[in-house]
Amino acid sequence: MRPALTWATAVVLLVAAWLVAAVTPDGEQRMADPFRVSAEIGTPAEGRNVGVTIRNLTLADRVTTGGWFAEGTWLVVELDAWAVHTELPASLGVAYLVLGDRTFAASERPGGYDTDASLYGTGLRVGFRQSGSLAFELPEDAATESGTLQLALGLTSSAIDPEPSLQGDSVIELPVDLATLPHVAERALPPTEWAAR
Amino acid sequence: MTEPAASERANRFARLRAATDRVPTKWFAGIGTALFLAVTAAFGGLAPVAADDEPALARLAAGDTHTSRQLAITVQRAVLIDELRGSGSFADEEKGERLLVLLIEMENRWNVPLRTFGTEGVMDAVRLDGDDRAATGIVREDDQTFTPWLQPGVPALLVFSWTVPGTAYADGDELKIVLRDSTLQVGQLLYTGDTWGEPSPAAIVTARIEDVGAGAEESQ
Repeated sequence: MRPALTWATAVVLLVAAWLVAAVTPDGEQRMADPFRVSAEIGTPAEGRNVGVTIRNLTLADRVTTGGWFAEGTWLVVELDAWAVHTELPASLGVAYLVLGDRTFAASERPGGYDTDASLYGTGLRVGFRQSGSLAFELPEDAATESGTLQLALGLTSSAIDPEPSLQGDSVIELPVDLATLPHVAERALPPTEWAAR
Repeated sequence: MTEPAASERANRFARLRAATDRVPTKWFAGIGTALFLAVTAAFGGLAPVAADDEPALARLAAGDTHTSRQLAITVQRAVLIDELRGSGSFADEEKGERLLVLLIEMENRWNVPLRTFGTEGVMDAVRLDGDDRAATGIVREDDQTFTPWLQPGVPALLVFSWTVPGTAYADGDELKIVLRDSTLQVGQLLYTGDTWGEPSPAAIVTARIEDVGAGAEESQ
């Protein structure tokens, strides 16, 4: 190859690399951004392999299931959930409530007492919807805040930082204003069942 | 002109050499030490070296709260018990083992949930003095959720338990508990995500051990 051609090729490649870097939003920082899917109450929302219909949200001072109860400030999210393409793997392993700079995860406590009391971590099915609930245990001062509910498949579990758990897959997001939600004294968590379509 | 001077200097050097040759080599160490001490004395003498450069640990009693960037920790009670169902720790009666149980209120002061197991520092935050083991069981006091998550700003009453030789502790003993603070480590390059690590002692809690025997009161 003639030297002039070599140089010309090198310059073209460098310019091309610079262009790619320039048009990538925020460089490498956002390479693994989740694919956000906005949801509305009562309307099905589907991501890559997770679908949900969020039915209602309630604040409660006490939640119960069977012989288990817990007092405090709880957000109970009732929803239907299903897998879109494959059941392996597909479990509702990521359920966050982001309020300001704080992130809360759905409580493992009701499901620890009775797996049917929570959809958190439940395996999802293709073609069959399951209805149930997620319960978030919150500090009292959070009851007036607003933020976002995030639901996704749990593919990574090692990181405690929520950000890596949401990388590179669909996240279903619902804006939540806790101050406007009904606030009841006690809520019995609905059992996980096959949902009526 | 220079020659006599040179020979004079050589002469002086030879004399000095002859003089030093008469000093036995063995004395050198002694002379050196004496010189060192003399110089030291001139600067104020030898002072005792500070025995411990580490900052003094906070001294707390049962019921006092230790607060770090990550956690607020309040050790409430220390209990010695034969066995405690749901605690996650199993004492082998035949080996004479019992359980040392700490009732601890913990609040996550960080902005994302913390696990009580694994490397996030929660299980590393509490140690018995002279025992480097993490608690063999960590459960919630109210519903025995095993190694529960701590949500930000939501305090939880936890049961930390250790299997211990039955003779190691006794009713009424002053138990020293070491509370350790971890440092936030921000993931970079190949690793993403924040984690807590490098726990180091921050406070000592002294609590009186209550021996509840078989533990009828505790075992529900």
